[in-house]
Amino acid sequence: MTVKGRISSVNLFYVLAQTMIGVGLLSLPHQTHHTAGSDGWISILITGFFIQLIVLIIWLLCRKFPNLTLFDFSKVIVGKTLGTVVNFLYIIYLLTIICYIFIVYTDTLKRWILPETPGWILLLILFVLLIYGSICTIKNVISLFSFLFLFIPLLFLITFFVYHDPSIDVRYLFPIGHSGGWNILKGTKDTFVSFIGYETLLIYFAFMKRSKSISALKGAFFAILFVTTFLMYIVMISTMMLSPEEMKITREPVLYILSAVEIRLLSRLDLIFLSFWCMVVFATIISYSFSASMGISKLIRIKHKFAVMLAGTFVFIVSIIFYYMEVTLLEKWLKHFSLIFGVIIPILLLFITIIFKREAASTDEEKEN
Amino acid sequence: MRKRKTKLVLLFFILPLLAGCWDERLLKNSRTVYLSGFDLNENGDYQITSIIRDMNISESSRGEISISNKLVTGNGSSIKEASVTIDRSVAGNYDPAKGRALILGIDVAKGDIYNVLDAVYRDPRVDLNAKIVVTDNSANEIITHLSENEVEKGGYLYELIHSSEINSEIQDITLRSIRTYLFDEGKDFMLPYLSKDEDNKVKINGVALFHDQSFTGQFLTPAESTLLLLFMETKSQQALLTEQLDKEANVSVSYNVKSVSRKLKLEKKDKVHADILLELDVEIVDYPPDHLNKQSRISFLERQLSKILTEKADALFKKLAENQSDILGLGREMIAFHPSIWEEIKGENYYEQILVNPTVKVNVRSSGITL
Repeated sequence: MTVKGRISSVNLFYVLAQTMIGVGLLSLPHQTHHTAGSDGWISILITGFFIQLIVLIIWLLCRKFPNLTLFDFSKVIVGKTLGTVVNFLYIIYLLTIICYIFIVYTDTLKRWILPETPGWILLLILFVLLIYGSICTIKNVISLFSFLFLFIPLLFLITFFVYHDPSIDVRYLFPIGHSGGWNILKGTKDTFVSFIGYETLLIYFAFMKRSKSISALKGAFFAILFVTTFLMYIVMISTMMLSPEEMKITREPVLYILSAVEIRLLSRLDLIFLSFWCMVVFATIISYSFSASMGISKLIRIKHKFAVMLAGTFVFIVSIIFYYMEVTLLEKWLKHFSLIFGVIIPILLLFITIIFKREAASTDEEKEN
Repeated sequence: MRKRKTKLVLLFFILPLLAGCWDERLLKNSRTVYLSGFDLNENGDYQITSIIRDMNISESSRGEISISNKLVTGNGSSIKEASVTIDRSVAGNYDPAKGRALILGIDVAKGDIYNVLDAVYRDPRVDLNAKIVVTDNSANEIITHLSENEVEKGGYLYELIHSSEINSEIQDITLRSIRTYLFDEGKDFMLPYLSKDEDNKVKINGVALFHDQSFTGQFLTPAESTLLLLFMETKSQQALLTEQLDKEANVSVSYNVKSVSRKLKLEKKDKVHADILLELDVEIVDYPPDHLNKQSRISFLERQLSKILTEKADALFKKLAENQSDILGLGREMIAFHPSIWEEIKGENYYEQILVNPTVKVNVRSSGITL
C-alpha cells in the first residue's frame, strides 16, 4: 500500500515545524529552569542536536522503504503480527499526545482568559477542529500548514516588545554553565517533551518526492534547527526577564512577561500571543490526528474519514475523563512514551532492517507491474 | 435550498461554542477601582482603602452619564479577605487590583510586602503595569485626602509618578518588575515615597529604600535618587541636577545629563571592593556667570562638578551601606561575573561585605544655544 501525494522538502519544513511547536512552548522556560537553572537554553541546544541525530536515524530507516509509512513497513520489518502490535501502540501513542494537548490547552485557556467557560466547551471546539482539519488529503494539510506557519513569526515578533521593559537583565543568563554539566544534561530530559512531533516523520517521509536523496533530509533538518532556535530564544528571553526564584513559581513565564508589556495601543500582549498560540496548537493537533487516523484506517481497513471520526471521538472522551478527574498521569507517561516511541523503537527497527536486510518488497512488485 | 437549511441549523449549534457566551463581563456590573491602598491596623489585620468610580447612566435625561466617586474600606486577615469584605458592601464586583496605582502604608511597607501582593499575581486579570508607592503615613489617610481634594484621584497619582520617572527621579517599577526584585537575592529596589507637605498637597518626596522585601525606613531625596539612577545607567528622558558651586556668592549650575557610561570593577581584598567610575556627558542648562566660551572655564566647571558629585556619591553609598540596600545590584553582578567571590560572601547581609568606592567624571558637552 504505497501512498499518493508528493511533498517537497519546503513543505516538510512547514509540517514538521508546526507539529513540533506546540503546547510545551508556554511553560518550557519554567520546566527547563527546574533542573538546569539559568542554563536551560543550553539544555535546549543539546536536545536539538540530539533530535537531529534521531531524525537522521528515522531518515535512514524510511529511505529503505520509499513511499511506505511506518504503518506499512513495520509489518515488513518485524512480521505481520508484531507489526500490527507496533502499529497499534503507535496509534495509541499519537492519540495520547493529542489528549495531552487537549488538556493542557483547555487548562491554560481557562486559567488565563476564559475562567467561566466550562472545560468541555473548549474541548468540544478542539474536537470539531480536529475533525474538520483532518478529513482531507495530505495536499490540503500542507496548504493549511503553510498558511498557519505565518503565526509562528508573529509569535516571534510579539516577544520583541519585551525589550522595552527597563527591568530586563542580561546578567540572569550568567554565569554560563553554572548549574554544572550533569544538571544541564538532566535538563534535556525535561526539554525532550517539548520537541516531540518529529516522530511524525516516520509517516511524512513516505510522502516525499525523492525520499532517498539527501534533499528530503534537508527539510527536516532545517525544521528542527528552526524549532531549536525558537525554543532557545523563548527560554533565553524568559530567563532574562524573571529572577531565578521567581521563575520557580511562574507556570507560564512567556505569558506572564507579556502580560505586563504595554504598547500605546494595546495593554495586554499576552492575550494576542495566546490567540496566535492557539492557531499553532491547532496545527499540531491536526498533524497528529492526521497521522493517527492514517494508522487507524490501515489497521482496521476503514476509510480515512471514519478513522478521523473514530480518533476524534476517542480523544474527546478520554481527555474529558482525564480533565474532569484531574488526572495528571498523562504528562508523566508522555515523558517515558516519547523516549520509547521517538527513540528506542525507530533505532530497533533500523537495526532489524540492517541485520536482516529487509527490503520494501511491495514497491518492487508495483514496479514490475 | 435544503443544504442551506442544514447549514443554518449547524450555525445555530456552533453559537454556544463562542467564548463570549460564557465569559462575558459587563461593564455595568463591574466596579472600576481607581486607587487602592493597603494598611495594617492595630489587630494585625490588613485594611484596604479604595476609590471606586461609579458611572450612572440616567434614563430620564437621554442617557446622560454622570460620574461619582466612592471611598470604601474593608478589613481582613488577608488581602483577599479584606477585599471580600468590601465586595459585600458594594454592588457589583469589586477587585482591588484594577487600579493604576497601589499605595502601601508605612506599616505594610516595613513588613514583607510580598504578603500584600501575593493575591495580585494569582489573578490573570490584574493590570501588571500598575505603579506602587510607599507613604510616610497610612495609605488610608492619603487616599481620603486625594478623594476629597483631587478631581482625578488615581489618575493624578499615576501622572505624578510618571512625570517623576521621566525626570529620572524614581526607578521605573511596576507591579510586574517589583516581583522580579522581590525574588532576587542579589538586587534591591526603591519605591516612590509619597507624603503630604505643609500645604496639604500630596507629592513625591524622594524614594524609599528597600532591603530584601521590606522598607528600611531610610529614604533618599530626589537629587540623591537621580544620582543613584545614573549609577545604575537607567537614566530616563532627562536627568536634571543642580549643584551649588560657591555658597557665599550664591553661584550654582544646573545641568542635564545626556549620557552615562559606567565602569565597574570588583575586587576581593579583606572586603569586596567595588570601584565604580561614572562618566557623565552633561549639557549646561543654567549657569548665570557664563564665560563658557573659554576652555579654561569649562575645565574648571568640569573639575568642580566632578569633585562635588564624587563627594555626594560617597555620602550616597554610605547611606545605602547603612541600610544594606543593594539598589545597584552588585550582588547580581557578582553572581553573574564573579561567582567565586559570591560563594564567599553570600547570605542575607552580603552587602556588609561590600565597599563601594565611587568616582564621578563630568564632561561638559554643550551649553544650549548660547555659549
